[in-house]
Amino acid sequence: MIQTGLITSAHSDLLTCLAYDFYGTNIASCGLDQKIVVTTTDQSLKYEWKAHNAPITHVAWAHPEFGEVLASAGMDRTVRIWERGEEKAVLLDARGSVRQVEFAPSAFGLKVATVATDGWLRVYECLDLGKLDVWALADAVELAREVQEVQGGWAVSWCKDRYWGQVVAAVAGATDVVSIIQFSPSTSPQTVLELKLSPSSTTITTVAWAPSCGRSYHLIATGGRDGHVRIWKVNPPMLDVIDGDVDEKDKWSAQLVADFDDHARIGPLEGGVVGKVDWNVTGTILSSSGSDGRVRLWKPSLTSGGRIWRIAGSVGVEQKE
Amino acid sequence: MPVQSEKRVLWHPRHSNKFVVGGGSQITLYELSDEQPEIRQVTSQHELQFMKCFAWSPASIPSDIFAVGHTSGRVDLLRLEASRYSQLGRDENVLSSGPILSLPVRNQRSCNALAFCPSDPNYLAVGLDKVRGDSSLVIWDVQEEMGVFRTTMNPFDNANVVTIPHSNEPISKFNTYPPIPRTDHPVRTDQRIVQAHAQTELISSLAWLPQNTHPYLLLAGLSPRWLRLFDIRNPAGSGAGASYVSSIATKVTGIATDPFDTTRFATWGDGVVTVWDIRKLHISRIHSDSTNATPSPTPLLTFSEKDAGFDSVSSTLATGASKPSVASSSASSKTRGVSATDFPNLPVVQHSTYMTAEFSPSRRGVLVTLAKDANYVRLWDVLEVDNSPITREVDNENIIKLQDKVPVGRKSWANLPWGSSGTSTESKNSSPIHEEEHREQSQHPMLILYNTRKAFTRSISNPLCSFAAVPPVYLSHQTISKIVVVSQLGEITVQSVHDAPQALAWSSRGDMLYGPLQSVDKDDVKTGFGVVHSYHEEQEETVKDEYVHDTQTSPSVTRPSMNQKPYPASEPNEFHERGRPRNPVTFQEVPPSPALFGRGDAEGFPALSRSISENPVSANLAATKPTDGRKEEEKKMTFSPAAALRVPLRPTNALSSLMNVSAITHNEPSTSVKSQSSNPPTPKYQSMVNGGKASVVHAAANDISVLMRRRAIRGYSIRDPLRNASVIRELSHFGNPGAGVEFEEPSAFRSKESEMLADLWEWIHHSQKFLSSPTPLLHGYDFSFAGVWGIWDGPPSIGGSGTISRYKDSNTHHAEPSTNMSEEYSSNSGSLTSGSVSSSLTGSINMSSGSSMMFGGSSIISGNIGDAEATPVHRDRLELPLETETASLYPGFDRSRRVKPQDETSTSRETRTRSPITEPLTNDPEWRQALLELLARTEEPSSASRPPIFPYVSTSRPLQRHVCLHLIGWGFILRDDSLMAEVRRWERESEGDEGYARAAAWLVFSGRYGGGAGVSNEGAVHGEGAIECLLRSEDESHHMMSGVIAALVPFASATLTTPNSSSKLALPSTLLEHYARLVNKLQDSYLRALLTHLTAISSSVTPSGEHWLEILHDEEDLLPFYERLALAFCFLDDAALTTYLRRCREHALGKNGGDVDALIVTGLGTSEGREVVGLWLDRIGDVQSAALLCWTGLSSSLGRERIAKLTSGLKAKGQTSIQDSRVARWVEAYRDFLDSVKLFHCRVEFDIERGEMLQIAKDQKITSLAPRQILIRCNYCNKTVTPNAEISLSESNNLGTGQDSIPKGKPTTCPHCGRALPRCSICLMILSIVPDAHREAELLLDHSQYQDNDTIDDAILLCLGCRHGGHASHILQWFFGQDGAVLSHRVCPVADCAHQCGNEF
Repeated sequence: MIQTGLITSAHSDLLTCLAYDFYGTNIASCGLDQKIVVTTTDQSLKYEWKAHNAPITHVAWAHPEFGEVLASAGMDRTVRIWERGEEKAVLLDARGSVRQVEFAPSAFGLKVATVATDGWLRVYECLDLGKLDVWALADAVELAREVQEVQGGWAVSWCKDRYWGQVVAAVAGATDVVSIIQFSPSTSPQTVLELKLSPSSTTITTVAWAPSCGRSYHLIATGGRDGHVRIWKVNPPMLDVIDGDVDEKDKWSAQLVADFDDHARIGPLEGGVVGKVDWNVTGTILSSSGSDGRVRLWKPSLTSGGRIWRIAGSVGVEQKE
Repeated sequence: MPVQSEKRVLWHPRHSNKFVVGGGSQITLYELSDEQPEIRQVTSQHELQFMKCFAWSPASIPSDIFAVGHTSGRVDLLRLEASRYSQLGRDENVLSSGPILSLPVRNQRSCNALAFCPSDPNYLAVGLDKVRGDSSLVIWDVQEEMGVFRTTMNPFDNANVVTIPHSNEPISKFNTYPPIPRTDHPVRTDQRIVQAHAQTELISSLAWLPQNTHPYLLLAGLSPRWLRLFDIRNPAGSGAGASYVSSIATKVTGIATDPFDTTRFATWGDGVVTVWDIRKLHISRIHSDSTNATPSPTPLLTFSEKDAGFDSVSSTLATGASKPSVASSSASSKTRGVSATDFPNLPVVQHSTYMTAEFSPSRRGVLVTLAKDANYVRLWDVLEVDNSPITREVDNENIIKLQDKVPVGRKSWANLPWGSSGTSTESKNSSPIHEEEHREQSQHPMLILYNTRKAFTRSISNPLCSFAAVPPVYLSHQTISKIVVVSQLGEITVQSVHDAPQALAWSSRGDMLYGPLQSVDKDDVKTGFGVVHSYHEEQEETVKDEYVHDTQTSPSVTRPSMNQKPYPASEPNEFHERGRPRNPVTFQEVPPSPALFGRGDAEGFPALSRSISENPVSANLAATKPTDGRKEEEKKMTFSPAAALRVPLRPTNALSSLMNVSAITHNEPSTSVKSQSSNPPTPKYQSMVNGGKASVVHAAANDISVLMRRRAIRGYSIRDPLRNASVIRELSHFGNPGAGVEFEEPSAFRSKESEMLADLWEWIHHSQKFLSSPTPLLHGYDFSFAGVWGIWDGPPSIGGSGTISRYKDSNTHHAEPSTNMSEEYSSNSGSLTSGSVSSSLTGSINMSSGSSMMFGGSSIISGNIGDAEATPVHRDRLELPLETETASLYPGFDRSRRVKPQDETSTSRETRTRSPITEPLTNDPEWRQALLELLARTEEPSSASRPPIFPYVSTSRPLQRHVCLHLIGWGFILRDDSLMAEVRRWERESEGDEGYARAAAWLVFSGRYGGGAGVSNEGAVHGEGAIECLLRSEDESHHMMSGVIAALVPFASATLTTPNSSSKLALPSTLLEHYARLVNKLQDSYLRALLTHLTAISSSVTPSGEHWLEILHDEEDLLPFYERLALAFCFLDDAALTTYLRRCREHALGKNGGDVDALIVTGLGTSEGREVVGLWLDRIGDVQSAALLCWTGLSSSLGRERIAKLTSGLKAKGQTSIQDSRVARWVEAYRDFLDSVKLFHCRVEFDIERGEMLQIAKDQKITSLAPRQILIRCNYCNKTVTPNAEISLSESNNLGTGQDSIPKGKPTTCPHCGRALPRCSICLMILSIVPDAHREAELLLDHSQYQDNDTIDDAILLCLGCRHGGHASHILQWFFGQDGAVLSHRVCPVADCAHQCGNEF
């Protein structure tokens, strides 16, 4: 019975992203060696191929109803769509390396949001679900102009629910402002809320929107270059009717409910950076990884209704046997 | 090499674990080890007064040769460890520093840089200061000197030879290169000088390129202007300046070579780091020769500290330790051309001069820099991007678009407003010529500065002056870089710099991946990613076994006719279970289902299992009328192909299945729960989590997501509250593995929560048995899932808030058809109850219905039993039809207006009169009648006309109190015999002696003190009381407590007997104080409550009852909520009770609300109830329970309208409240969750159960929860042949009015174009399509002959393989023959079709 284990990476260089598919049975990984590797959870290799001409920054699975579809983003400024290791489409609009891709909830069709170091958030939609080769740029939002690639942060995360429409939380560039942007077919994308720190002090490097799991509020976690993990409790507008019409009077609002600097201060080092934050399937555990070499888990206090968070353990990224 | 007066760290050139720190007048050798202390001083060389620079020879034997350059220009060669070895060696008495061999210099000047050639350590490059007429770069051949050192080596040296297994510098390679030619130096002073270059220049730094690829290439920084590359194999000429391969105009303070990519090197100077490719330096020579305005070759990358501006500032602020580094800002702005003020949004960063830089030897593409006066080193991630054109065929437009935008040598892709001189070309507005250039250049790999991070050392706050990256022990791409830093004060520290791992992922199953993870074994390093498992199949297996066992003994068996019948293994159609999973393995994989249709295909079209298709809920096949079990059974059979052939696929003997049920219900549910919980898998769990990652694993494994999955596997469902309760109890052991107190809090589900939820499900079970069997519809009031508040408060007609039966619109189609319908049903069922089922079975069935079928949702199952008696919920809709109808005529029945909670908060203690607060029940006789009828369901001896007497407190609402107490499950307290029976049960069943305390407390509360003293009450008749009860306990403290009670009884009983007399016995105040102290000492909450109560009533002259509130609100150690409720209903007076209930509601809905047990008060079907569940969900994230509870609640009649909207009327606007849409969200979230953990069968079961609820609601608008999946399209007009859903829906609304809904037109033609449909391949008749609405109408209304009118004969059956088909009955006959047992044909019946359709079955 293995509680924790090490899955030997098939990559010849550093791993940059891991992604589970919808069922949690396949793992896609990508790395600086320009390869995507798909393994199953019992560690048998399924596919392995050179996907980009540059280090791959991010990889994401589509909902299984669209097939075994992967999207990958690379430093070669492309987003590529793969089905079982076969290239289906190359999306070339970005003028900077693409740092993150994430598929929209399946209710909106086969859509993928990308954020690139040119400061643009782009949403592509697949127009031909049968062949997966025709993709249109559905939306594009310029998040940042003066982009400093080396010190910026690029992240996008969809609201996992469909009731509020197509909503993403995105950040680009050297900023600590997370924009919550709503896309709609009829109007241009609107920034409905900005998660801002005051005083602004860092660059947000990673954003994760928690699955709401039916809760009345949403949770968005961010990680910054200052090593802080922050959790925002986001209150969406009340849904007046069930078909998703949002009451216009109500606005999105948010409050910062947690701010942990553990990644910045634990250990002999200071100046830690949060590399990634991610939520579990119910949005009840947040995990964060930092340059202090640890992955930490955070859980809400049971009685707080998402207002009080605590650390629930940590694991190091270096195992000594 | 940089010229430094300060200390400098130099790592062993051959990657040993040694390094030196040099500076001032000494060089010290250190050793880095794994043990403590980490850094050990080995030896040191002093008295190097004029040392300017030093270099470490890469020679392997001896490995401690240093070249020390002096300010005079002289270079000394020495062995650092010579003194050490001489001590150890032969000259024990002489402290010898070993030989020092000097390389003289002709013109005295400072020696700035030294570099041993890595290919041949006999060559030493010496860089000197500028002097007129002399070369500054001298290459010495020091072979002789090396020889001297070798001969002076002592035997110990051999032991000191470092052999590194992974070293990429094989020793044998030395001296394999041909000797380098000697230049004809104009003034040859020394034979050892091989070459001399760079006349009248200042050499600031020197670096040989790594040996293997470019053995004799030497880079030299000719400060302040040039970077020159010399190829000393081929000295181009003796003239000045022409001896170099290439020369680049740039300011170079230092040079660093890349161990991974040997063509790459970095130079720094003036705060700018530039990365070059050696292959690209050649371009420049042409240019530099031709013109003076040098278009210098494009560096791969240029960056400065400013590029990390935001980062550095924030960290400076964060740490507060380092002051902003003040550097030559004038120089910087000059070189950069852009001042920092151009970026007002960025904090101004003074970018500082770099002291040193180095490529990481452990990770490709990591450049480590140290800026002047910085207290950290900075790591830069440099990534190489091969920007060759995309080879895949895309349209040309895109290619051009891509290549247009290619910037080269950029620190970033984006349009940076600044740019260093070499990189300022902007592609956006560039001319076509430039584009051409760019396209050419873009063929080469480009570098991108990807990320940067800093490594602070907490222990060193002073500015650092040098660092050296520690080479890796093992050659793999490491995530951890170690760096030795030395501060200006000479502090030396080793830092480990981690990457911030970019990879982190959670699976839906609760596993977490993180990485990259490096596992360091003794002799191996594995790199990969880590995984934290939170869910263990093995663990689950053991529980599954238990579970399987449990299923067979559990009383809570649903669908008895299908589940309980042990089918033979060969039964072909029983491929998987309905109801609870008998064999949970099937939940892991989709079993191969020999479905007749809907087999599922590659397009992801879900396979329809036959069990689904048989389900009446799945819309089109059967919109059944859930009345009669036998009919139900038969009807189902008619839908199966076997039934069409009159082949019994399963036993139809309803009797036998009934027997099964009744036999099974004899088991107590609690025993089965106990047997599970007594052996929880806790020890195993604990042993698993005792590692370092225990907390992480624990946190993940106890998360609600894992818990929800476990529950679902164990059969957590709408149908069966008792099973839910036992599942929760069982799993709560996982939530509390006792791994440590510190983990207690973050676990998803503490015992408190799980107890609460389990109690709630048990209460739901109980209350629905009470309220809904036989019917929750009483006199126009719907009591299903009511809470005590609704009953206590009453409908608006008597002044309550009317939470019970609050119809939104009771006057429209909803109420009318249902009553019409129920009339018919009742007549029908009446005729059928006297049918085949013997009445002697009714009792047992009622038991089973009590345990498992009190929900409306169970109607279909119970239908199988074949007795209307066994379908209480169904019958409920049928019962009392006349009253219902008449009640609907009452004006008061329309309770659409919601009366706001009246101003009863003023019910303070003063109003505690015995007079009724609210109107008596006479205002609403229906209400009273309904309550009486409810009460009559209990064994309470009460006449229908007279309200029962409430034994404990004088009240104006005895009826409500009775009903509420029964609803809570505490009705036994109203009668002595039942109370005593309960007391016995407590004593018997509780673990330890807890039950005695509980029993004693309740006995005391109800005035049964026992011991012969409590003569006041009837308890004495039985000779039983709290004292006897406590004496029966084995706990001695209980015995003592009995004495306390006995002492207090005279006082207390006096109060009871003469409540208003002032001449009663009163407890002395001293004793009172003592008892108060005693109460605080007691641990047992029951005993506390007991003593509190007893003291209170003993002490005061007129017992106020306020002590009840003390007990009820005892925050420390609360009694279970339902017991507190029972206490309140028993002993609080009306006003206090109202206040208490209100307080409960407010608390449940308040900020800290979300305790689901408050649903007992609010009721499940109310919006308040949903709010409570919503708060619970917000707290716990338990969307599973929320979905189940609220769908259950919605199924009560008040929710029926809402269900209709939620399911069918998705386009309905405005009507549904917020809570209802939330329920839909919860249900969807739960379904998504089940799908994501591949519990498809659980989800299907969930949907089926939900559908059953809808079925009960009998809302005709609801035909399906799922869209129909197959449509038949006309071959000619391409339109759907089957009438569309909307039409059939609207038609079906008119069902009550008769046959109008049958569409016109022949069913054998396409309704749109009128062409004939295909023909049956057997009978050659044209196939026809009977609209669903038509068929459903017949099925609903035409009970007597529905068998004949059923559509199986007309149904179309098509082979998906060959596309031939026909009437289902004919096709089935063809393939299965008359008896249906074996396949009689395999080949398609169509003449020339050879398709083996039979194999598809």
